[in-house]
This record gives sequence, structure tokens and C-alpha cells, in this order.
Amino acid sequence: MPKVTDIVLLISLFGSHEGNRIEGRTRIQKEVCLLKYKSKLPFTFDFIPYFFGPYSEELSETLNTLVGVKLLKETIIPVGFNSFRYDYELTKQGKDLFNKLLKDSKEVANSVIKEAEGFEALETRDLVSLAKRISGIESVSPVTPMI
Amino acid sequence: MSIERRHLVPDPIAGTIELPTWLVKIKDEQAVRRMLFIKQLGLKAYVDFPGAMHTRYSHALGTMHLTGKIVDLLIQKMSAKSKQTLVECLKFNRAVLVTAGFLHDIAHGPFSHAVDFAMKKITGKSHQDLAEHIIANTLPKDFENWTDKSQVIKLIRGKHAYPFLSQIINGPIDMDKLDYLLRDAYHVGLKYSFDLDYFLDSYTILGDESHLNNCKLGLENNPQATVTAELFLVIWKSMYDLVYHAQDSRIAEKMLEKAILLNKDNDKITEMFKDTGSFLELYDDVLLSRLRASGDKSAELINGIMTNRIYTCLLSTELDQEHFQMSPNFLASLGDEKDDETSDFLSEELNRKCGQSEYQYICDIVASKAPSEIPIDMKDEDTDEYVDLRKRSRIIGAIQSLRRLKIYVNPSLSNPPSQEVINSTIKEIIEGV
Repeated sequence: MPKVTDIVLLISLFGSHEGNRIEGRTRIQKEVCLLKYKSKLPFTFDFIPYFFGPYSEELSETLNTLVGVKLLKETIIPVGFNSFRYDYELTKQGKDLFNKLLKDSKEVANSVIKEAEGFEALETRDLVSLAKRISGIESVSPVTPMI
Repeated sequence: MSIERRHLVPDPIAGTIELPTWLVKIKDEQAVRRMLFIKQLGLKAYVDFPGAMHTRYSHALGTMHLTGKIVDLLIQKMSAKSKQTLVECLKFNRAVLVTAGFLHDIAHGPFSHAVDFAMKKITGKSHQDLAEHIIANTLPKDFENWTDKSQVIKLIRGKHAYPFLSQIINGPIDMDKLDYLLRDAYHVGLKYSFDLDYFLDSYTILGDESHLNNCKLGLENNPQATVTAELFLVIWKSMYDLVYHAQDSRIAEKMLEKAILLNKDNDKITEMFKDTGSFLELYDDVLLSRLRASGDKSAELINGIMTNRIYTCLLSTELDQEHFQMSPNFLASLGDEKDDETSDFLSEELNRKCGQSEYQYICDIVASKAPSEIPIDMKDEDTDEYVDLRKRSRIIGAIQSLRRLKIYVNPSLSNPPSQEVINSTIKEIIEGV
């Protein structure tokens, strides 16, 4: 379950991006993972190996909650035949909250802005590789087949 | 040579269910028989859906049956793909999976989910925690000859070393969900048409079998899988909107929850939940009669349920940032496992600010469900990750998690404040968190 800091950090992450927008759920997962493991920001989401990279179910649920309370707007973008990408951006209310955080939680919000600098220049595949490498969560050792 | 008699049970959803030997041995145990006296849909059977008289026991049988079915199907599929490690793993774990399917709800309180929050508040334990205790301590010792209790518990808790096994019992497309949706729809009288076998046929196990702890339960990548999953999730969503969150039933359930919470310092009531022996005798009707005898306010709430004089809905509004300026503190108090606690906090604050005694007003946060990630057998070119079904279906992607705040009021309350006053008071409480 998200803590107050998770909400503050997550809203600030969106606020740090051009147009307050992040393209694709994968990017959000990997950016938060990097902020937690590389920048040591106090996200409490647990990441687990998910096929080929770190993934947090709690982060996914928190995103759903923030969409539900209309702090984030979810846009479904067709990217091919029967293939869609989910983009997220702060709504007007989300932007208002971000501006409030810039005043009330200035230090935390600014640390996210500083640490997230450069994320947008990275291709999604590079973000995935980086998140795997930094978090070490991709490493799954072979196990014996039976219990 | 002795021929053992087969134990067959007719079932409206599954057709015929054969009871395995271990179940024949334990079916008369108190912890198992207790499920016959717990209504699957709790108070909904007494308020909105009189047909819903089915019990946790029939759901347990149905989940067990489907678990066996999907395991056999996956063994066939993996065998055809020459994934021998997976085949052996499924065969080895078939017995514990089927047992977990049957026992997954063994510790539901009376009226099922209606008492989840109150029970957790009193005991500090969820029904899954209690299930662990009941399975470990109350089933006969020779049960171990048939199955491994610790593995059953891990499957139910979603903590098995191999996640794809847990996901058969506890995951976004688990057998529990498949059974309760079809069973509940049948009993409430909603005629959904859904081809279960066709859907099960699209299940698969994704990932490299040399890393079993990284394998996941998912779906094939074909239109059959996508379209049947869409249908399944639309039914899932509509069952929440039409049945699980039906307003009058929901109000009655909240009244029951508050009747229990009013007794949180009453040992006679709390012991029924805390002491395993008492809990195993705590059936639907026992709880109602004990609460009726426990105090004026509790009795009033229970009598209200019994005589259909339930609270009325005074306010129903979207709980979002357009209607309330919610702080990060309040936002962090929302979530599947937190909504009941937050609702209870809001109820207490609202009654206090309105100068009322406990629970004249009841606040209720009702959240619609959004599906979790369901991986399909297709890799994303950019990330090399299995694609989430939402990326292939606009319909599934459109199912969002929305929250409403509802306020119910005791109909016998004299001179209640106007709706505007309640509206502004609750706004003040939420925005002050």
C-alpha cells in the first residue's frame, strides 16, 4: 500500500516531465525503479522480477488509484493493429497538487526533478536495461524443477 | 480386490464434481462443514438477491474442480510443447493445488466479506491469516498423508516459490474468480453467457521453464484468448456494479459491520472471532443472534437488517480531486486494503462533528475494480517483456478503478442536518486530513 511519500514522489515525477506526461506504463515502472535503487529516493513500492525486469504491482495499483481520483489522465494510444500504449499525464487538479508540493514539500519534489533529469532522453529499451542493471532485480538463478 | 466407491456431487455450475479421497476423509470436520452454514454472498441473499442462498462450501467445491481441470489442461498443453520440467512440476503439485482450491476460503467469517473489516479490526488478522491457522491446526493429522499443508498455505497466500502455481488459486485470472463469478451470477439470477471451457483453453504458462520461479500464468496470444478475456472481465466488472456493490445490500452489510465494531471491547463478542474453537461455531445465524443480544445500538442495527428498515443513502458522490481537494495524506489512505479503515474513520468524524452518537451516519467508500496485469504470450519488441493484455484490448484498458463516497443515515434520526450541511462537513473532514 502506498505511503504519503510515494504519492508525493510520484506526482513530482510526472511534474518533472515535459508536458507532465509519461508515455507508457513500462517507462513509469522503470523510472520509479531507478529513482528508488539508483537515486535512493524513499519509494516504498516493492519491485519483483517480472519476466525480464523489475515490476511493482503496488505501483501499478497506485497509478490506477491516481487515475480514478482524476489526478492523472490516462490516454490509450493505438500503436499498431490491436496494440495500444497507455500514456499518463497530470490533470489540471494534478498540476495544482504538483504546484502545491513545490511549495509545501519543496525538498522532496525538487529531488525528484533533479534525479529524473535525463530520463526523457532515454529510449524505453535503454531504461529497461538500466533498471535491470541498477536494481539487480533481473537476476533469477536457475532452480531445481520440483519442490 | 476392493473397489472404492466414487463420491460424486451434482453441481449447478460444474455438472458433476468428484470428491477426492482426502476430501471424503475431512468433509465432516467442523472447519469444513462450517462452510455449509456461511452464505457465499452474505446479506445480499436477504436484501437484493433472494436466490443467492448458495454457500462457501459449494464455491469451495467449484474452485477445487476448476483447479483440477486447469492443471490437467496445462499438463496437456505443456506436454505438447515438450516443456517436460513444467509438466513434471504441475503433476507433482496437482494434489496441493486442488486442496488449496478447496480450502482457500475456509476461514471466511459469517456473511463472508461483510465481516472482513470488523474481523480484522478485532483480531488483527485477515481471513487468509486465519485460514493458515485453521489449516495448520484444526485439520486431522493424517491429512498430511494426502497433501502438504505448508504448500497449500503458500498457494492460498500467493507466496509459493513458483508464482504461476499460486496464480491458479490467487491471481487476476484464478480459478476462485472464475467459479465465484459464474456461481454468483447463476444464483442471483443474472443470465450471463460465458464459455468457460473456451476460456480455459486459452490459458498457458509463460516464461523459461529452466527458471520456474520466473514463470507466470497467462493467456495465449490469439483472438480467442483476447475476446474471451474481454468478456470475462466485463462480466467481472458488471458483477461488482450490479451485485457485489448493490446499494441496499451494501448498506445492510455496513450496518452489520458497525454492529460488530460497537462490540470491539465486548469480550463475549470478540472472543467469537479470536478463539478458534468459538470461531468454528460462528455461523451466519449465530452472529446475528449474539449481536442482537449484545446491546441496544447493536440490536437496533441488527433488527434494522432483519426487518428491512435499513439506513437510507443521503449522499453519493465521486471521490476524486474534482470534488475534494485531497492531500497526499488522504490519497495514501485510499486503496483496496485501506478503504474500509478510511470509511470507518470518516464515519466517526462525521458523527462527532454532527454531534451524533456512534454510527447514526455511516460513510462508505465504494471502489470499482480495474483488472491487474494479465500477461499474454507475446514479447514487446522494445522491452523484451511479455505484453500485458491491456495493450491488446481497448475494452480491458477502459475498465478503470473509480471511487464513490456514500453516506448512509439512520432513518429514525430526528431532525437530521440537510444534505448541504453533510456535504460541506464531509468535505471539511476529507480536506483536513
